[in-house]
Amino acid sequence: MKARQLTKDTVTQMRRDVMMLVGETEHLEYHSVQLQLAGKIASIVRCYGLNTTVRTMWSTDHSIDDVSLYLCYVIPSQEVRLKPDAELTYIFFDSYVNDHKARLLKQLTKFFDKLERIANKKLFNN
Amino acid sequence: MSKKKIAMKDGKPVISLNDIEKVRKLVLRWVNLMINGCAWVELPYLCMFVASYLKKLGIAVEIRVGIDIRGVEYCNIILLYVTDMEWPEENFKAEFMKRWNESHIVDEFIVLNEDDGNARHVALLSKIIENACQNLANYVSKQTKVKKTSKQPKTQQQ
Repeated sequence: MKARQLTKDTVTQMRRDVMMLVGETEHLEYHSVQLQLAGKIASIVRCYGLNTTVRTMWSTDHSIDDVSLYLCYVIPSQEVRLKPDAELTYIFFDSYVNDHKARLLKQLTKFFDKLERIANKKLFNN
Repeated sequence: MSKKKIAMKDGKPVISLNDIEKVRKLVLRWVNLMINGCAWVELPYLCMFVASYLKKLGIAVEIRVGIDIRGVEYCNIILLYVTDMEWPEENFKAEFMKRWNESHIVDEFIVLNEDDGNARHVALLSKIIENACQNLANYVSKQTKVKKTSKQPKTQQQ
């Protein structure tokens, strides 16, 4: 399967799918829920041609208990860079933040706005 | 800088052989059950589900999904046994990120391709989970033995 060309419509659909999923998710304060949500977001955005990395960080003394999600759009014709420096955005579920959902929605909105600007500019449409 | 084994608490391993066995059985069962009915697009979700259990053993997981330059979809899974290393008490996060980004600390790494099919995905996933659990079990056994040996002289004195 080839990566889809990024258009305004695909960004709109992707935004709708992801935002709906996040909106429906409850108990985002739990690490296991964060992990599974990150995996679901990764599953969705991949269908639209985005590359993602989901990473867990953990320690037994609970000093670290976080999930991070890197999202990037691959420019067709360019080599896929796997390192996090290729990301368009970096979403971080921080255990010490109270309002996880609002924070996540804010980060995702910013990300999709950015993608939309890219699609409008037709930067990646060959 | 002071060092500690993060898997140790009061001189004992935080996880037991029993914990490892329980998680191993559960995760393998889920992998076998779920992957049969798991579409390729749902694989990242399955992997993170597995990760949420492996986390209980101190295994950090990274899943990379995407499309490579040939247009082929891939799913990379990386496991890192946080328990088998020494970590600084201060600035833990920075050190963790630094080490994570150095490939030599990656303990298990597999690449799943869509065309491989479910059977191979199950086999590869099961293999890295088995390896991870076995290595952790070896680590815990070793730590337990060390503790018993170091306790013996005290008992003799008493």
